[in-house]
Amino acid sequence: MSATTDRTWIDDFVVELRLRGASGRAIGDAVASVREFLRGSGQSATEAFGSPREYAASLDLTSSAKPKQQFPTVARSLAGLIAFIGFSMATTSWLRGDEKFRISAGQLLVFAVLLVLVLLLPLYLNVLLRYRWLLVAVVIAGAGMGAFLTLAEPRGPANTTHAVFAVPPVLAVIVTAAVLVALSIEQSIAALSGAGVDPVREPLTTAGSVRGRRGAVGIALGLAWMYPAAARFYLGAVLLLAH
Amino acid sequence: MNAAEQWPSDWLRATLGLCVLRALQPGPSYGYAIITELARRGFGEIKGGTLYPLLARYEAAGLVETQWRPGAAGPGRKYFALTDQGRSELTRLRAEWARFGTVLDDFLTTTKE
Repeated sequence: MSATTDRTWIDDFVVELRLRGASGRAIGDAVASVREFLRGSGQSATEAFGSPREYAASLDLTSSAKPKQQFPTVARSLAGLIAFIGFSMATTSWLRGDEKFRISAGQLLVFAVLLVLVLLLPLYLNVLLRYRWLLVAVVIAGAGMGAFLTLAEPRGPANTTHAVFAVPPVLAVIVTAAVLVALSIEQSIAALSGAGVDPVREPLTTAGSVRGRRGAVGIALGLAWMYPAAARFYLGAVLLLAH
Repeated sequence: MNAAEQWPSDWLRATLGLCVLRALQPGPSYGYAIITELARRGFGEIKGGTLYPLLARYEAAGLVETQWRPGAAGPGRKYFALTDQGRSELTRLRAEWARFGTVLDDFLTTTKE
């Protein structure tokens, strides 16, 4: 069995342990034990330990401390996505010189579907993380919904009657931008205080663990400001095209 | 017959815990060395996926303690050692098994109805 297959097995094993609420230290210990055993026996990970899911379950490493809450993190990301979609729509409407930024019934329905998907996330989050093709499918569906939101935007006086919600475009831009920045500030504070950051720490690697923690905080900060950065890029691109 | 298929899996499942405690009696050892020792003693090949969960349960129960030791030329190894409680448990189980073995032998070999 190839080293690549074993690496994939270990990646899946880490995901399974995370889903079971194991601490970063416990995961690091379990992964190092697997590596040590494979080196000694020359067996493949599947041969020696079976499926990552079953082996993770058999170790029973669920933390006695409060398990890491993944729902708020993902919910914040999706709230950021919704605010970003709203921002891009409001910006387009503002630069087009619309008198009002309007939301149609169809768009409101898609927003409602997105909201329900977010609220029901705890029911299917584990399945999404386990089967990555499904995660890709959900992202593609989300992008499709975003495209629909833009295409279904009511335009011109003829469609005014279909709008169920209308505000000045500048107000919509300011509100959605404020939501994006507020979410990012909140996520940054959480990342810098170390809340929710529990990197995998393998034994006998003190220096590595410090690097791992810094790296994890850096990634969390980058993700926290992903939507405002994308919004700024979008605004710049639209202004460039307009001129 | 393949060594791994030498004994019914039910028998191994029932006795593996006792055998692992016994394998640690001479001193601390690591996962692959324990499996090699058990294979050398005629128990067949035990999978890592069977041994480590058992050791994790014993660690949680306070029967064994662990220590990572750096390897001579590479990553370290996790050593398992019996605690005092683990040694007492081995003594108790060994005596129990001896009694059980006698009862079983008597029953299986007796000619009386």
